[in-house]
Amino acid sequence: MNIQTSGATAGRNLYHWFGDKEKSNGSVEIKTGKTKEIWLVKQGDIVGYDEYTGKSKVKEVRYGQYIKEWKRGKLTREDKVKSGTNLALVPTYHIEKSEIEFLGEKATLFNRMYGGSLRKQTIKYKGGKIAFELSRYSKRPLEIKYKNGKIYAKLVGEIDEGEIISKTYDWKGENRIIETHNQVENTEKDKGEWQNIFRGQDASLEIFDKEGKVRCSGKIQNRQRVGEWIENYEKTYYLQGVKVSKNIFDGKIEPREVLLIENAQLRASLIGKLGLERIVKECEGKVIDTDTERGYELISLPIKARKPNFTSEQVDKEMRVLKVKCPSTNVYYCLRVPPNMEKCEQARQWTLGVNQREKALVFEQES
Amino acid sequence: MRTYRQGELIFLEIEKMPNWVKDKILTNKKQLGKVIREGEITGHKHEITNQGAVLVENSDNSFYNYDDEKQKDFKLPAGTMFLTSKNTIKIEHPEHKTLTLPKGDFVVRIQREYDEDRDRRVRD
Repeated sequence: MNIQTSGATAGRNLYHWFGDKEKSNGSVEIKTGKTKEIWLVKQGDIVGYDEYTGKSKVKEVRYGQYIKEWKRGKLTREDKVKSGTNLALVPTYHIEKSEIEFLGEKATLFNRMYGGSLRKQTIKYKGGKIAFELSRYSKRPLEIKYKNGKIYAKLVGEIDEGEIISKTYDWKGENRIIETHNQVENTEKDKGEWQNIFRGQDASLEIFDKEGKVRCSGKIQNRQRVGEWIENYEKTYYLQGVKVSKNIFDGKIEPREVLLIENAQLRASLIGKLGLERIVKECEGKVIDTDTERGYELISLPIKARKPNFTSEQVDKEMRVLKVKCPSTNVYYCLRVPPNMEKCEQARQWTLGVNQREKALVFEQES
Repeated sequence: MRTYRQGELIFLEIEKMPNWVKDKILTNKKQLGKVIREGEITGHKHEITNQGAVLVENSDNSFYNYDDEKQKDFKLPAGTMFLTSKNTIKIEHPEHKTLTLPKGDFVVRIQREYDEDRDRRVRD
């Protein structure tokens, strides 16, 4: 069971999520350190709460009625609800309606508000057909339809409804999905906004035109576009959120060219594709240090540094790699280490989690 | 503090298991199975092959300090695993020699590799 709240003052948004059990009537006590909150529930709605510090009551809120606050036993605040102000505590459950245009058609937006926060949004075309319905916490794929019933978009993943529904009380302007879609369509302005629709790790989307043809589709991981995409009917390719050519996507790039890529994430992704060992072998780095007994080498390779975002930011201008031999398999492999490593053993200890000034690890047994 | 290594896994013996780990062991919460780590690319597993060892993961997104005064500076990132057993612990992997740990409590660390944006763990 948890209760989450956001915002402040009497108009604070409130989620009352009691987990598997819904409390219909009574009170729920939440303790956090020295603070205790007693939430009051009536017929399934939260009607208010009392807050205590130790044994002293410090706050009393009754939604739609008043707020009271105490300091050291003295009443310091008493505000009653006035309509049209921040203190207007809206009834716990109500529906807001707006007439809008959606996908080129006249439609009505319904925002179902519950305890001050948006719980469900529905857009209905004139004539009654539903464009979409989005509930908070829903994990089902979201389908958005044209007025003729054909699908406009399929969004699969944990949708951040805060992104879809840009405003709660005074809804104006374009729905975020359309806004984002327009950004994607216009490739000059394409800033990769689609991933902001989602939160969480994995997601996918498909956008269709009125004839049912896929106009835009692809996958998102960690809020970044990955893999093959279709944008404005054409195939595009992404590695770690960066648009690349098909050749690069397929790994058809020379190891030397990889070191010239400015984007660190893209470079790391391509190093992963080609293999650090191949890069080290074919790029003839400079050996900084050797450990002949164990067969280790610390190698330096120049890389193209990106421009720093701010004056004091340090960017890497070289890559340092520790070439090590596994005692079990006798196979050599490479590990990238920070560019300030000077010795093989220092670099090795760093990979084992030992930072500067910490004691080096000595193993009883290694395999 | 004795330390052991098998491939990219490092096992650091600890004097005292933090209380919150003991609670998790006792309540069976966050207990993992016998596989400590599975290679992303190869699928090879570092696996506990004898009875009695318990593996627990701190999956909370925060750093914990030990409640032991001597080890209170030992900060643990999210995803850190603990291993405990009253008997010796055998860990096998297809490519590495079997590692035998003495009975006791261990923190499991994964070898890391430098990433310009953040450190990342070695991919197996």
